[in-house]
Amino acid sequence: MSNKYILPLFYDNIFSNMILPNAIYTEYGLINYLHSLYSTKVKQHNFFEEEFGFTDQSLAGLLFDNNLGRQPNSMSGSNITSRCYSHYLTLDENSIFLAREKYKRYIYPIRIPPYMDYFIGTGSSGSKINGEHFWKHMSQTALRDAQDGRAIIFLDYGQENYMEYDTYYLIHESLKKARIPADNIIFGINSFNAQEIYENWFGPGDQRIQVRDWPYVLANTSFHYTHFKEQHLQLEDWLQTQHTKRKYHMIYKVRRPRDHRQALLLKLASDGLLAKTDWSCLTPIQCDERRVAYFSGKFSWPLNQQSIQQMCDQTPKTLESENGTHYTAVRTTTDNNAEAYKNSYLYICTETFTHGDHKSLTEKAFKPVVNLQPFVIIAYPGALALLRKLGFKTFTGFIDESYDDEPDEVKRIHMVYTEIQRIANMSIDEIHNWYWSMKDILEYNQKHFLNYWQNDTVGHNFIKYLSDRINQ
Amino acid sequence: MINLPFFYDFVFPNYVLPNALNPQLAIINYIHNLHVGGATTDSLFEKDVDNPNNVNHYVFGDSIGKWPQSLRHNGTHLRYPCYREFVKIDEHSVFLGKQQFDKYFYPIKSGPHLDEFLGRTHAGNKLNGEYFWRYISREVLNDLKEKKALIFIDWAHENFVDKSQFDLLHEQLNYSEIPNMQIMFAFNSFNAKEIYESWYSPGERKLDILNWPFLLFHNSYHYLSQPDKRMDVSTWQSTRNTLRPHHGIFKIRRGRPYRLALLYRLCTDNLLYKMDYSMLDNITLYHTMRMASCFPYDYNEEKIAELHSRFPVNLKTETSKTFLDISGWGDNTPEPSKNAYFDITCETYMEQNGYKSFTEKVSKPLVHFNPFFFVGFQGALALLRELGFKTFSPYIDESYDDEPDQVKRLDMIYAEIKRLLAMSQEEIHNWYWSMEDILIHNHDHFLNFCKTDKHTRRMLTYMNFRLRSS
Repeated sequence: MSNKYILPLFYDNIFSNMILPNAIYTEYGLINYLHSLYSTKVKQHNFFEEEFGFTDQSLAGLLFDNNLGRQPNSMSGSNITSRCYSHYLTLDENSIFLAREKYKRYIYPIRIPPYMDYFIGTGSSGSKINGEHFWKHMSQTALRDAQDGRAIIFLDYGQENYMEYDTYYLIHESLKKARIPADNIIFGINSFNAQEIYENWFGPGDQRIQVRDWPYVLANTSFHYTHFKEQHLQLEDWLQTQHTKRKYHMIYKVRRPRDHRQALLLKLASDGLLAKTDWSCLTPIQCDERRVAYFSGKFSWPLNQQSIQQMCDQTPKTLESENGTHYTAVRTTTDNNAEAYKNSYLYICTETFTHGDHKSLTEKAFKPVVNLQPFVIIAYPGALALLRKLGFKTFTGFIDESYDDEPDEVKRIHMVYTEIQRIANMSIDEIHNWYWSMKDILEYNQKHFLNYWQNDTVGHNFIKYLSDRINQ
Repeated sequence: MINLPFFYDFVFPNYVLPNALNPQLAIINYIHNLHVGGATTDSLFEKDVDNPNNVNHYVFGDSIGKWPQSLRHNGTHLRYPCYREFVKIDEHSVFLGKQQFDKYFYPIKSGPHLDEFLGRTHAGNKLNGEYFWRYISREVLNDLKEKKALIFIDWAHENFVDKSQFDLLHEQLNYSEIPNMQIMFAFNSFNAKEIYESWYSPGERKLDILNWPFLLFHNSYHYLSQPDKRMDVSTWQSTRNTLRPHHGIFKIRRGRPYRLALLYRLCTDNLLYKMDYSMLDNITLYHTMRMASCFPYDYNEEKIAELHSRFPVNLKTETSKTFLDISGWGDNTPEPSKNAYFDITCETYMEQNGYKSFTEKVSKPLVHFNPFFFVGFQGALALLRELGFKTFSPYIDESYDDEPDQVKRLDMIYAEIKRLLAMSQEEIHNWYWSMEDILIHNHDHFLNFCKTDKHTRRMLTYMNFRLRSS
């Protein structure tokens, strides 16, 4: 395609078996250098990313005693290299030294880890992370280019979908002494309204970065499932299950038991509904009376300690069809066993966050979509409305979706749970018929989802914005 | 045009880290790149090497050598403008370049001190054992084993490797798992390959030695492309009626035994007043005398001590030059040559174990219309004639060129110098201009050398062949 955007993505250091993440702490950079000299075991990404979250036994834990964060402050690669953009985007990934003269401006990508603290350089009191602002670890050449507008820093937070006001505030603080104009730092986040929120929180004079909406995860997940067909339920196979009754009413997957997820699990256990649920909880959980009281109080739910204890004793637990999987094996794109979805009728989806104003979607919402399941979603208010805006169909008429309009988090979760209870109380024949009566919606949603990456206008706008900034 | 991919293990924001660089230096370079901005041609420790207070010495003392064992210094000599018409060097990082090329060159530009590169020095020094291949990344070592990479050791600016150095290189490579012949070692010589192959049988050879007479070629291009550094024929001819103040010119930057021997003989025989000479090296009288005494002569120590007290001495037309100012390229105006009738051209070494090579030194009398004595290896004048230059027989008795013994050779040269110095100014003036045709021929032939020489083209064709063959 001749009218592709071209983005020069430049890095400070390119080592023999990896591109060193830009602006990584010097300590990590040096050890990566030594690793490159002696080993080829780690390829494509930074040595310390092998260990997802440092532990005391991990190399970084041993070396730095967790005083340098629980993850590197900067991660390898950039989400923008995802092939979901390759039909209209060409990337020139290169070294600043070798390619700087080829372009008027270049993008200096920094992929921020999920734990923003390490990146900002703000940790708990006494931590050596304090003051390790990311820009101090840029090369002087790149820093000067960013100050002069020759480089545009691209803070890639494409895999994350939520920012607190305080986090922006700390980013601003960390940038105070950087002398990098706000125009030259673009913060792309997996959200449909992050820019609006940021600009509401900070007036033009207070802004130190350019926040841009970049719903990367949806486009990338769409592309992924389009190209890895074996990882999702195929329409033809699905249709053949039409006369087969399924074992479970529901499927409920938990990897990281955030409060809202754990609360729901406790409630399902308390009400005896886990027997009708193919459920997983890959993190072992313990719920003594104090914890149960906490959840009971926070979510205004009567809970049954004995049932909860029985549930906890089973953790970590996998789905029935995913024996052998574990916490670290499951990530965004490695959780793709289609078999699990043939075993139940309703997907209980819990997004990462249920509070705040960010409208964002992760891969979680699209697993039922691509695997032809209706779902309820525990997320922020308006998640279903956003899906409809994006062209998906939701399940009004089959599921009471009024919960989506409820601004109060606890009330919303209660409303979702009421629907779960109602559906769980159906007989297998009832739920089977209920499920297949949504056949058209399920088919439509899968098709719409698999095509999404090709028609992703928000992502396209974001790429165009980057290109305009480079060429302005 | 030949296209050669040259890959580097580590590309930093300001420069490409020299391949196979000692990690201690590399780590400081990494930190340096983090804090100091702007692209540069040299890595950190290459700068200011001759300054005793340079950063290398300050940080490491003498424990890792005077020079970094591997240099960036603007990349391989093959990137120099003189080769622009013949070869395109694609510089890449190993990581990104391997996505485009199946096989590549891994260039290593050795520092001038080969022993330092080889990890050999006096006992007790930590440089011993610092073999260069240990600092090649594992990625590239694997590629070398699989013959997907070829090391190209670029030593184009130096012209002499002795057998013990090759022995040491062989010895250290025994432990490297780098297959034989995966290392191409190119240096400034016309016959290095033949010498290497005469020292080692096919079964013993580990290196693919390349003859790369870089300096003569590069100097030819240098003077051709910079007319301000030379005289043209008509300007030179316009000096025909001007007597020159000196009989000869004798330039010494670094004191070496045969250079000092010659200088001290001229001093002993009270002949220096007829010469425009320089001696820029800051070494003690004791050391200079020790060096000169390698060439026996009845030196007058009193006169030499007096001479030594005047060091450093500059050429009359280069009064502000210092030892650090002058290098192969920093000393190239025609002015000194206009002041004298012949040049005493001292090569780096007089004894070269059969190596035939020229540095930039012979370029100066060739381009500046001076006849010269070549104080260097036996057969140097014959090689120049083979390359199409004309030498000065019968105006100079050049039988010294056939003499294998360096002491005798220097004696023969000195006898001829004395003969010329005994001429009156008118005699030597006429003697000089009677060689006009030879001097013009040499000047023109030298400037054309970079257009006509086949040696480098042959080398590049061979490199391309090695790259494309499995």
